[in-house]
Amino acid sequence: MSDYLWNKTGEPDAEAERLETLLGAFAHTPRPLELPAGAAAQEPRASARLPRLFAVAQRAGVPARFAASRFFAPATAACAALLLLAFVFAASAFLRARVAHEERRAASSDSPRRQNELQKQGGEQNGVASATQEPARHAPETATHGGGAKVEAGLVKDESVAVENLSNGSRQRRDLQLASLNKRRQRLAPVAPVGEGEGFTIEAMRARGAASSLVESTRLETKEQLIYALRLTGAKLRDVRLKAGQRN
Amino acid sequence: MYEVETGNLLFAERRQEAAEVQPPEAALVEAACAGDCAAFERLYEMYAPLVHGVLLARVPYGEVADLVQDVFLTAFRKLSHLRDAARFGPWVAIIARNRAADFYRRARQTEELREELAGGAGREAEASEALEIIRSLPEAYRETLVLRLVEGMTGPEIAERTGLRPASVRVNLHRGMKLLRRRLGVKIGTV
Repeated sequence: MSDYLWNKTGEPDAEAERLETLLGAFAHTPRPLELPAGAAAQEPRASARLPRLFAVAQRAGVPARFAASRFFAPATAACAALLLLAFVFAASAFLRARVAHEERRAASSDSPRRQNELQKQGGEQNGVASATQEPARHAPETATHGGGAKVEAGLVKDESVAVENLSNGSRQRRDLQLASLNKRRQRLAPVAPVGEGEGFTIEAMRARGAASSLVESTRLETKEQLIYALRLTGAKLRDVRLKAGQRN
Repeated sequence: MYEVETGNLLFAERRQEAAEVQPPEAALVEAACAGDCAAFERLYEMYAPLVHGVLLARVPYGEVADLVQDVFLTAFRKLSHLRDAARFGPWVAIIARNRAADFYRRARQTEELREELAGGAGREAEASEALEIIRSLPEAYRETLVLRLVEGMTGPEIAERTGLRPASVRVNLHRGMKLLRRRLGVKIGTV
């Protein structure tokens, strides 16, 4: 191709020159622009309306033709809202699943056999908690495992006062802790022989899984005992202060 | 690894430089959006030949002048919708093409014929015939040839104003001219 047709350099093309001369009659003749009086005021461009958002988008590498679009700001706001909603939904779903799981676990421990075990283990736990936390204050009352009825009665009496003084919320937490502690004790119990058709039930699988987490269960049990003992100590201290105040 | 990192840094710098160096019409567009009518008139002076050529490739010559005004009025009203201020030329060319399509939807056929055959002088008739032949060419060749032969723009100018790649414009000019010569030769042969 001749350079003349491309950028009017080089050897002139006769045909092209002839056509240029012929068709030049149709070329644009400058004429002033006639804008109507009171032409619509311009809506400011996105870069002027939201300069900070535009600048941030530019720095983030968003192409100018997207960042300058009038839909960029609403689209960004919609994406942020969607992300927030998704996060809130995921968090609530996770919490609901956790609560449901805890409830199922609590409900599964309501059989009569398990209730008897709960009562026995609840009594043992009270003695153990007192023994670990307050050896000085309750020296005459310290109960060994399977101690006398008198000592147990004294412990039970003190505990009932402390329990009464505890707030409702603390009491509920104590009950929940006791229940979960008892469940963990059940897990430590030997697994019952699997009968026909029972090998693949959910409970049997859970029991097997629980047996394998012995160390973790023991740690958690100890922690819960400690928490309970601390709460009990606090309740007893309050009781003592009240009595001292009444005497004075 | 070092070369790749250096290359990435260089690329990022070049991209930043390109973003910082904006064509002059970008500043005019921003000023026009802010209400500066003089800036928009400057844009009109720069791009009126382009719009005129785009319309001339599609509509009768007698209608082109009014349509040019119409196109720039539309551009003035919708200037805030232009996403990239540096691409005013391609954007206003699109408005011109759409306006030409609207013209044929509204105008009656007889008016067009009357316009094209007007004029008595042999030279004007020859020019009208040449323009008619150019209009019968495929769209890509037609517009490029009108801008080159009628409006007198060079190939690089056409590429810059329309947003096409220079290689594409060069190919369109070459093939369009070849086809135009063949059809002009056929026309002369029949006459």
